[in-house]
Amino acid sequence: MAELLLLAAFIGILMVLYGIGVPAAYSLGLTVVGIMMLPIGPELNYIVITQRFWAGMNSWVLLAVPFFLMAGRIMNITGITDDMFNFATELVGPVHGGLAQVNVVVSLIFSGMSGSAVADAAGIGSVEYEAMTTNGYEGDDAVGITGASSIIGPIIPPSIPIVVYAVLAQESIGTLFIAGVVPGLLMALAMAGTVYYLARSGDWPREGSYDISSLLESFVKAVPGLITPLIIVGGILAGIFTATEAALVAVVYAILLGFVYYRSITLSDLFEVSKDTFEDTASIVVIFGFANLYAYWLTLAGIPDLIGDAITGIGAGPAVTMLLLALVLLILGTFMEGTAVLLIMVPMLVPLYPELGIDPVHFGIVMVVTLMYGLITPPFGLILFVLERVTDESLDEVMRSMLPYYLPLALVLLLIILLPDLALALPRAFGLL
Amino acid sequence: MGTDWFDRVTVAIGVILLHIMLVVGVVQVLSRYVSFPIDLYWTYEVARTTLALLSILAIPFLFKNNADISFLPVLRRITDRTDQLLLARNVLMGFLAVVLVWSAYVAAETSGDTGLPLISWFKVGWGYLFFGVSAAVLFVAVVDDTRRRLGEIRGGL
Repeated sequence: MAELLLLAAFIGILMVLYGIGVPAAYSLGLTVVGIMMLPIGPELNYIVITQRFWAGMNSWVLLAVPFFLMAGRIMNITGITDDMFNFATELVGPVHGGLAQVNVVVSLIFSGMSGSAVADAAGIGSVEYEAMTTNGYEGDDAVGITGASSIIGPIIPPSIPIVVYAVLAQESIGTLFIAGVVPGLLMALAMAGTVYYLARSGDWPREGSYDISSLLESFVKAVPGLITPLIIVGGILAGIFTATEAALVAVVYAILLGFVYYRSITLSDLFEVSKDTFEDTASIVVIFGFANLYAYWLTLAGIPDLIGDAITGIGAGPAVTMLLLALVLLILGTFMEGTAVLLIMVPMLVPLYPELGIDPVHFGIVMVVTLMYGLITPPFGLILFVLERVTDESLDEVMRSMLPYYLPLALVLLLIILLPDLALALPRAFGLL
Repeated sequence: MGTDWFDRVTVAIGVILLHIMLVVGVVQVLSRYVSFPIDLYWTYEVARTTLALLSILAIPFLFKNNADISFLPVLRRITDRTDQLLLARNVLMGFLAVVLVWSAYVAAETSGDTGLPLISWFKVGWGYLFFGVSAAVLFVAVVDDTRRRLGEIRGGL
């Protein structure tokens, strides 16, 4: 009974704090401090707060976060984005709803650099929306595919949420990166299929006609951008470097492209990028500190055992358990930022994996995909608000425009849950599992 | 805390720390292929300690600039009582900041002369104390934010 009360307190206090605007990191810290002061909580110990906070941030693997963020930001300002957009336009522009398909392809390629759905929606998403609306697309059609395609980013490597999950679950980032490739491609296919259907039924415009020489020319120009994910994934697979080192290599590559190849960035641009990276990194890593404290108290209070008993009590197999967990994550993901949900949920769930028969790599991908869906799901999906800000559409229109994409994306999620090999076959083929 | 000198200094130090991490990390990767005249076993420790220091440094800055990951952007859209809710938030944040300062002080005292495993001259307690200082600055930022909000609420009446 006391454990049940504690569980209610751990979740209830956290939600209330987050709901009144306390930042995610401090919501975690305050929840722990609050529970430490309750008569039902484990004994109060101030020293542990600082010790756990420090230990939670002091990680070599965590260094992948700032460097992938930095690499993505530098790539964004080098001019690679324009080259990729031109290549995608030549590649799929001439089909029905060409620019909508370009939107999917660009998100797919861009995901190999940014690793963040919100960065995709706010950055290249606004470019895609602008291009579509000025070429005869309705605003809601343009914003719908822009939002839906932006969530591919964190599934295809590199991916900040996958790094976060890997650090928390103590799994290999490289293995999880590779496991995300097929699910990411499936999501892109699902969106391309939906666009094709909508384009045929809504008579969406085409963009130009096929011209092999223009296609080749645009391809050659886009090659420096296209090979970025290959460098990252290839380097990890070949055992040349770890995921953290791959992030470092990506930054160096991006700097070289910007300063030497494109000659499009200056030291002042690099300072701006560094400034933004510093802010974003700290906002994520500080949560790690408090999440480590939160996870410690959860374990001390016996919460994972309680959840484990509750889930095993249902008597469901791994697939049904994962479906139920995915539902919980989807709900949480609509209210909270994905990283924050990962930091709260992973420490609770990781100890239960063996008991529940869940593969940590498979479920890691399921978790990240589900949380990305949360980003575009009303009422609080973050990308909905980002798109409202960077486009001319109202929040209602943005929400309505996403409707056609929910079913195909839900089907993909179901497939990933029911067929673990979709995530695990590739890592197995490369001897990573 | 009203002027932006604090932000400028924080960002400047943060950017320097970020680039220290980058350089140390690159040296670490290169050392696998190029032989350096010095031992580089300490680079892992330097890089990850720098990440922790960078994040601690940013605590008050993030709060002051509303750059923490939070529900705030959505909250502003769904209620017109955001200011009142944020006052409640500030009371709680102020309390937490005080707890953190105390915790850091006690942890630093307890850690004594313990150094980091690979760079023993850097005492763990220094990191804890830095956390305490950052929490104290956070407290000042919270008080400043509360005063400003109260002024705005009174001015709007």
